[in-house]
Amino acid sequence: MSVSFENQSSLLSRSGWRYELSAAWRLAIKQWKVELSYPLSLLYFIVSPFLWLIPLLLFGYALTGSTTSSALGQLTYTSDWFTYSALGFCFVSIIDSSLWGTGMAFRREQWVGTLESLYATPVGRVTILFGSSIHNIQHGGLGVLLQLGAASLLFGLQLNLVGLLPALLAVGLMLLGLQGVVLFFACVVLVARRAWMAVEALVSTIKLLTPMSYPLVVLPYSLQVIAQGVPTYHGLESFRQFLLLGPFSPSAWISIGLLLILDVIVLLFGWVLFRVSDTYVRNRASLAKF
Amino acid sequence: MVTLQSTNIPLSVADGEAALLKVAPARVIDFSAALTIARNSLRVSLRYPANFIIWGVMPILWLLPFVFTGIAFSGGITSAQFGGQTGYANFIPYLALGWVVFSYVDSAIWGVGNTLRWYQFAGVLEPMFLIPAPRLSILLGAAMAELVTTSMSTIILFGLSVLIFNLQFALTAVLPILLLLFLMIVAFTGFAFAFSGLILVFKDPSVLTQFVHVVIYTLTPVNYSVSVLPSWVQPLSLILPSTFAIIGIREAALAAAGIALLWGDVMILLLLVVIFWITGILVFRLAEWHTRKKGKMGAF
Repeated sequence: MSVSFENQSSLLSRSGWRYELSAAWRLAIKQWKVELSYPLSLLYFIVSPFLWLIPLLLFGYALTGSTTSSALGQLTYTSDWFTYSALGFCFVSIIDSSLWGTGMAFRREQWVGTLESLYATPVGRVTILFGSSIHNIQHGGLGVLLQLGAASLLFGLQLNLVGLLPALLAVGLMLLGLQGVVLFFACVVLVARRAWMAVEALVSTIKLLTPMSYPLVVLPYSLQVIAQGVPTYHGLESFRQFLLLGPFSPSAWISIGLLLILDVIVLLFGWVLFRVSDTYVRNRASLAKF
Repeated sequence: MVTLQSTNIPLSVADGEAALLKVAPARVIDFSAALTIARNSLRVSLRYPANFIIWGVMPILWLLPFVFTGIAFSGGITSAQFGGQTGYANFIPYLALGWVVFSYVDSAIWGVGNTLRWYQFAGVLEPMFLIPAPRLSILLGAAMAELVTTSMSTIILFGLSVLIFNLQFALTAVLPILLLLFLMIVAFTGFAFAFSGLILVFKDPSVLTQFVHVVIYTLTPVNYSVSVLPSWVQPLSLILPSTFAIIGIREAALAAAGIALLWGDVMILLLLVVIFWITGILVFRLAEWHTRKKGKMGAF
């Protein structure tokens, strides 16, 4: 079958946000197909969110001998360390999935030899990352639902469901801000090549500053100050407070406000950096280098 | 010109190759080839010098969340409950030693176990399989290289832990610790052989690696004692070399237990070395045979 020149040029002239959105959606579906083509992936996807939570719970139990801690009660708004940690863990799982999945998207394409083909497709570079983000948000979101469901069924996790909607708002805003961080990671991958170690270091630092199972006050003062500038910290604090204290917690809404400001800053920073790195890599013709 | 090293007689290329194959008969493992592969792996690692800095700092970033969690839950650096469970009320040295030892398990699973997949990504798996040495030499070479890089990381982790948390360990514990650590690393190299075989068959390393990693991590007493695990899970923990190594190393470092007291752990680790190596070699060979038979060596 031959394709006429007119058809080709009309194909290339397609543009606009709807076209980019459709391309991103297709990329997300493609990623699901790739993941599900490996037989162990599906099984692992179902059990993994729960598996990673177990060591943390066992450590908490070894320290306290129960599911409550009076020390945690003095530092935070709850002494129920189990619920406090399980919610933190769910939130950090989304961060992990988003940062690793999208941050390494380019490197994975390079490994399997499709990075240049992907770059030659008539879509924006950011769309490629956005497609990966959509997939990872779906993947991470489903994982969190499985985690919360399993924790509720097996351990009787107590949540304030009235706060669910604002909690989801916190997750959404955190994910928005995270896209700026993801753009920064993609820059590291494009420029530094074997960047998974750099990504690992940055992810671990972000996770340390996003207090999954401890309040910020136990960190050294310098780290507390740095954590205030990390969107994931404010996202987690508001998410946890909404689900534990309900939708009217003033400090949770203050965190949402700060998160909004940080989102704008981080997204702008990531986008500018990505444009610069993309141009730099293509000028040096080092796109496919290992 | 090609010469046979032992005789210095000039040979044609064909004769030289034939002679080479005669003097390099197939063995289970060719240590000389493994050393060459280890040197090559280290050379590749050195091409990315930032890795060494990052890997030096990384383990402390994994350890710190547990330390902060411990402080938040117990209100200090000691916990009577934790002391009752583990025998050590101060959980910081307990955790630090656990993470130092587990770094080697991590390296066996992620580094050695995934070696063939990294070769596949880099497009050199099939050429590597054509070298005139037993395939297990490739994995042993990777294990040797990982031992060097992991040791550099753990030395930094240990040093930082001592500096940050002001930890004190008995100097007399050094030899027993090194012995237990060595036996555990050797045992896990056998495990990595089997694991590499599984990756040859299942291809996607991320899922399998993470699954195996989290299971071993949960069963190994890195952050808590074996007694915290449900009773039906505890026997599984006792078939892992890391369990005995970590328990023994803690006894040596924190309770100044001498080699006489650790003899039981040493004997169990020796037994596990034999079991893990035999199983590892068998599983790898079976997986390799299966993959070649299906013609899927280079498949993604």
